[in-house]
Amino acid sequence: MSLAYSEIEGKVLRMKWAEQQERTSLNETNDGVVSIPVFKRVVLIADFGEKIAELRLNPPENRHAYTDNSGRPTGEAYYNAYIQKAKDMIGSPIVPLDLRHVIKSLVEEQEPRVARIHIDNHTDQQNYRSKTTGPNADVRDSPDWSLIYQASGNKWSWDGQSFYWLPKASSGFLTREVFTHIDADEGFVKVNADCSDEEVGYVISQIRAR
Amino acid sequence: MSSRKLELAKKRNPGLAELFDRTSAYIRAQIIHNRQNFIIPKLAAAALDMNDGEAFILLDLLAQEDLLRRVYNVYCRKNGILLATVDALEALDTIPHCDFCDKDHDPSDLKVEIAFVLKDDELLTMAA
Repeated sequence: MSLAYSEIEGKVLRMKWAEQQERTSLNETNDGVVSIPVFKRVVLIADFGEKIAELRLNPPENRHAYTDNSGRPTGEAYYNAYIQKAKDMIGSPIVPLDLRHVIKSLVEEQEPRVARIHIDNHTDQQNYRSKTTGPNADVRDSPDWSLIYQASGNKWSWDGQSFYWLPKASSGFLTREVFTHIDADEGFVKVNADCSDEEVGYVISQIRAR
Repeated sequence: MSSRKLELAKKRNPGLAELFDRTSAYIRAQIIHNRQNFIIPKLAAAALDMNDGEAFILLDLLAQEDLLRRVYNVYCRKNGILLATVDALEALDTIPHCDFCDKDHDPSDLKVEIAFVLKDDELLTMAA
């Protein structure tokens, strides 16, 4: 990881790292290995006034410098390296946001909905994990899902949910639906690579508000 | 009949007495009615309307009071299959073959979840 810049503006620390990784795949026509260099950017934004920090990372490729105990490059090792770097820079312990609570409050919201739920992934009290994927609608509009949710949804543990934030409920911030996957089990939020800074800012503000 | 160990725990932590009662009622319901062997913090949190960290601390305190025992459920990360339950993380090197994937997983392909089991039947025999 190479530091690209570091700046402090008021109580906000902003740091950016960059690095090159490799995306390797098999060339099926000649059995050779194709390797493409891919640049990765990582940004840390720490607001010491609000006591909130964000770490924004590109997803890893399959060849990089972060390895597990067996020497294999893993996504977990890549993420952990930057989380540790962020902790070192901030100089204090970090407590992750409670993302299950965020999902729960988003699911509970009635009209006007701020987001369309594309994929629901929860665990019930008998420890059965269920995943529901909507075609192009909201899983809450599925009569079957709704019936089960009414009966026992208040005791579900929310593991991962995919949302599309809706422009009509965004007070003009969004001009298109913005995809977000919240993985409460692993503790991260994923947005698409083509999102603008404003769209990412909107998603994060909506998550923090809950 | 009340659990002696639970009453001692409540006496030692009077501010948590009500939470201990709710948590122990939840544990009994999970084991007796839902037939669950494991008490999982995230499920306890959902049922007791608290966050994962709070539920974990409560369960861990009950473990410290000798009512529960902390274990680690080891899952295949890809398919979510429970492969083993171990008492210590050192045992991750001895995880059995994953029948679903038909391979011996590297530790990074495993997902570990903290769970709690009853130390003995004391919580079950007490009146609800």
